[in-house]
Amino acid sequence: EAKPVEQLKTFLAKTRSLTADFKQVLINEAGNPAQTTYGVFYLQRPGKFRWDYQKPFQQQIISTDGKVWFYDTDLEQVTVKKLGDSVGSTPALLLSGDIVLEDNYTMEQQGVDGDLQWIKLLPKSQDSSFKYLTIGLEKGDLSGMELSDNFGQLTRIYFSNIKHNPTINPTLFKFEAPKGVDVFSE
Amino acid sequence: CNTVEVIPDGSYSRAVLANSPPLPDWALEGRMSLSGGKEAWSANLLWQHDPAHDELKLSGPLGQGATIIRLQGETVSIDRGGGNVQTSAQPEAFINQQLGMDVPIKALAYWIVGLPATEQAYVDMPSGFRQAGWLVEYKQMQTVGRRVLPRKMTVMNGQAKLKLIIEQWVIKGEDGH
Repeated sequence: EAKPVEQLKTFLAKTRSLTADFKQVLINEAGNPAQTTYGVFYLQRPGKFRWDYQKPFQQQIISTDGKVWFYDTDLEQVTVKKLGDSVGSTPALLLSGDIVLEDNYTMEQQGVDGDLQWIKLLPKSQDSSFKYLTIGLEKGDLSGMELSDNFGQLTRIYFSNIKHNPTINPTLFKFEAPKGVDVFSE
Repeated sequence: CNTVEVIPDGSYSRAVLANSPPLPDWALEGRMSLSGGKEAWSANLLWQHDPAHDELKLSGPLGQGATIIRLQGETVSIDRGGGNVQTSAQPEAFINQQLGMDVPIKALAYWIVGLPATEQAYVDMPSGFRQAGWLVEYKQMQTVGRRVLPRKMTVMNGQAKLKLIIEQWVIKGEDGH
């Protein structure tokens, strides 16, 4: 059976597009879940992704053509940033497979529990906005991600209901600002 | 733990808040956005308050780019993790210079619970008040145990506009916290 790092590369290579439900849990320093959000993740290579946060609040992070739109419904605000400087882009950027893993991350097999393999990716660049990111694969398929912020606080993402290489409606990757919403671009 | 029930007409009443028992230590979880100043951004917000100090943690959508602002009396520090901490004795100016966030942070600790800062003049407005050159407006309130606290508010002056959404309040010693 291929080593986890190889499985990750194989997964990325054969994934042209993907949709999945996700649950995102913020673990506070005391190790307890502080905030849980739910939504749907869309990926279309090259370079398009969409995090659609649905509960308990609505936010959308949409990336296309090298830009990232961040829209918070309650805040009625949209910020548009270049892909590189957008803080929220790194994990999805990694999944979108547009970057060569070995050039940007050192990769270590983190551990195996049952048929869940974790791979730890440490950013080679210093100015990365996170210390490390681990990706969980189950039988070679994406199952989870974990990011540690610069205070050691963890954000865990659990994927489910994953569909591989579906055709995704392209409008999902186009952002139309609703009327009356402030739009700020770099 | 607490009932997050949005009051139908969501109207703000300073009198109600002024007469409710003083708040002990509290914490909130929500989101904020800033516009009009040097830059526009939005962030997740975790805020912990006790009489001696305030700690605000701002972070991006996946917890990235986390930054902690600690305020104690006249001293403020901005901690970006990994030992990168800067401190100043001019909180407002320092936060504005470091984060492009031109907001009276000490007054904000009062405004966020629905009250004007103490020992400063203010003028009542239909859905809030005006104080220190800022217009504070409460768009929506919510019930938290026996208290009524803000859920959605804006803080504006000529240049900057801050919007705050409070998803959850945690009041120490009340409602099982």
